Amino acid sequence: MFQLFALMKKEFLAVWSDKKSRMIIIIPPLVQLVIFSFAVTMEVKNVSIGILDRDNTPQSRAVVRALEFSPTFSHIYRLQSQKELTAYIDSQKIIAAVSIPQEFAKKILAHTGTSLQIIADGRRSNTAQIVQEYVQMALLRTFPNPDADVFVNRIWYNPNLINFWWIVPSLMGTLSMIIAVLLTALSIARERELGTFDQILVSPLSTMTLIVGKTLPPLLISVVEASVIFLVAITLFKVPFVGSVAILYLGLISFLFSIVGLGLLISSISSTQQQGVLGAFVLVVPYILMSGFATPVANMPSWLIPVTDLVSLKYFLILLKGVFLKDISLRVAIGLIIPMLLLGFTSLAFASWFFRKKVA
Amino acid sequence: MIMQSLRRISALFVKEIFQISRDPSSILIVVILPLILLFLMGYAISLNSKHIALGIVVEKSSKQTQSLVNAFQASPSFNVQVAHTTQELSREMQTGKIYAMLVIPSTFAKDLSLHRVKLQVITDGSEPNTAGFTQKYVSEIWFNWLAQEGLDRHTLGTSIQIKSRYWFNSPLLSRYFLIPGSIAIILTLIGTLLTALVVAREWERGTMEAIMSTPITIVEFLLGKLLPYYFLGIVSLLVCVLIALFWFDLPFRGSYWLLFISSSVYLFPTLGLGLLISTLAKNQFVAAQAALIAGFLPSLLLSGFLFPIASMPGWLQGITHVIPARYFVSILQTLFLSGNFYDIIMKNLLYMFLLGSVFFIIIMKITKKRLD
Repeated sequence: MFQLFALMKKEFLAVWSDKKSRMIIIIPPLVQLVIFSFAVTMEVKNVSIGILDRDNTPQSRAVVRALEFSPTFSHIYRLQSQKELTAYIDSQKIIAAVSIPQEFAKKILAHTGTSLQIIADGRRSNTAQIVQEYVQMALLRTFPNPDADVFVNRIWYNPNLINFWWIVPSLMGTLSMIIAVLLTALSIARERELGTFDQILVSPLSTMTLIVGKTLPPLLISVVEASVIFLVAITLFKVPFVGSVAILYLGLISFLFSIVGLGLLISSISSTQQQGVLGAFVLVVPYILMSGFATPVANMPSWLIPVTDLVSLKYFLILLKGVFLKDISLRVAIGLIIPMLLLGFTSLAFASWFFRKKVA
Repeated sequence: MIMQSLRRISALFVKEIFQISRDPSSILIVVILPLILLFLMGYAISLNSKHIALGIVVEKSSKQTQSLVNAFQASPSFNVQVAHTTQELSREMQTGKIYAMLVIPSTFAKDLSLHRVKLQVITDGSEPNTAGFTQKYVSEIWFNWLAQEGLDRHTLGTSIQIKSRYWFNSPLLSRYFLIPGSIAIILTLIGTLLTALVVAREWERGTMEAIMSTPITIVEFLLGKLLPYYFLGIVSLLVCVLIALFWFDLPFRGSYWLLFISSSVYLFPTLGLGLLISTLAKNQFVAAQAALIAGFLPSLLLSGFLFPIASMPGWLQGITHVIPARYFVSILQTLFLSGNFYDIIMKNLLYMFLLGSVFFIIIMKITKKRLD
């Protein structure tokens, strides 16, 4: 027990005694939290579009006006010709152009049906797609469709679709993960590189003590880190927290445990810090991309979905959103916690196996 | 003089190459990571929502509701799960198993004949993007179904069709812009992360002082140190372009020499940033973290490749101007999807070059001090 404390104390000192390491685990996560909370949004604002009105009738001008009133578009260029339209899109001056054909009004009044063309810049096809939706909505306002108010739209958990409400909880998981994985991936690799690992090996520490002593300090540091993010989330970003703090911490510790396990696994197979960092990287990037952070898991091809079961971040993101916004019950949470713990124990088992192998 | 200088540069160059080739982790980042990243971008990340898990609550089954449910099941936009009460599905919604619910009321058949149908669409606000897509797709399927059943009323609104065309990306595949964007990220990783680590290691192990005691000048040092990583970056670029063109069948409408030049110019600020970080950090852990924060994450999130810059608040848009990846992403998307638009490319090249020069001026200033 005493040995364990000594090792843990040493681990804390290794991070804390260096001023730069101390800074790098405190300040950047908070800066990132602020920057990324504002950056990560699928909303489209402040884009410019063009309109080519070939009809110039009261009806076509009504369409133009509807678009001008839309707060989404910062500037609307009146285009004079197809050539001008092409030039504006090519130079990315506008993201899309609405082209109103000749005889637009005549056909509407005759009920023969007509069409509007939206030409969008596929280089930014996601933005273009969303702009197309806005144009459609503006049109519906101009020519109301009695069948359209069939729908009563309800949005649960985040009725005003406030972006912070999903991104800030998600960042709490991702940012604490990055800290935890880097701290552990480098811990043993650094000792190997500096030669102090041999000293630890000749000391009377057992492998078990060594593993626990290397696991707990990064786990504690990243839990504290996540707690700071949590406080910022509910005070500064005013994200509601409707669930239970106990469930949050149960999930947080299980998740970071699984990550520390992975970090240690990387550390145990790499012999230099460079290998540790790059190994951590090769792991973190797919982890974030497959977790459902940016795009839902259901969007992925069916052969890839089973692979995401190995990504503990996936469970934790569901748990985070659940506990922040949806007040999930302990039973639901347990279903998410168990896979994370299993993943954690598996990677720790592998890590200690690699240790023994490398030592022997 | 020049001969000696060249000899010193090449000596350092050879040393660096040895160091790279002896460490398998360099291969990991130059070849394996691009492969993983491109495959994930090509397959895992798709911004066009498909197979959204939708729960349909049919309060009272009838011929019409069955036909409507079938219409939803036939659509590739949704994976449909049917239930009879909202309660049954709300747990699924809590655990993120379904993202939306459509409630068809028990009076549906009667309402339909009287043209006063009300359908409730409940979406999960913790996934705003999916929520938006869901509302749009649900109404599209509804109108198609009405038309198919001959129940639609011709009104002004419905008689206007909107035809959309996407230039440069007519099949509207997210991978068409995600993969060029990923190339920028991969080059950032090699340029910034790898360089930061390597130079920080020299400081950490004390070999930097050894180099400084030799007659090598700063410029020679920078050249000898950075050229190997520049070549690694170009090799990685080649790997990426080959995968993009032959595996993912991306178009390439610009010219290859322009791609080569732009990538070289992009590596200039990127390598500069890596070197700057390592000079300031002098410790691999700090350097790795800093490279992540100053290099990788901005190139992923602030370059406009995943998230539109125009939607960010003003102060953040200001920050994106000093992110070199922002300019490179724009060049890559233009070269791959639309062609040689010189005014876009030249403007972006200029910005990248300026940023690189600023980084290098700072490095020269700092490093000089240390030599005194």
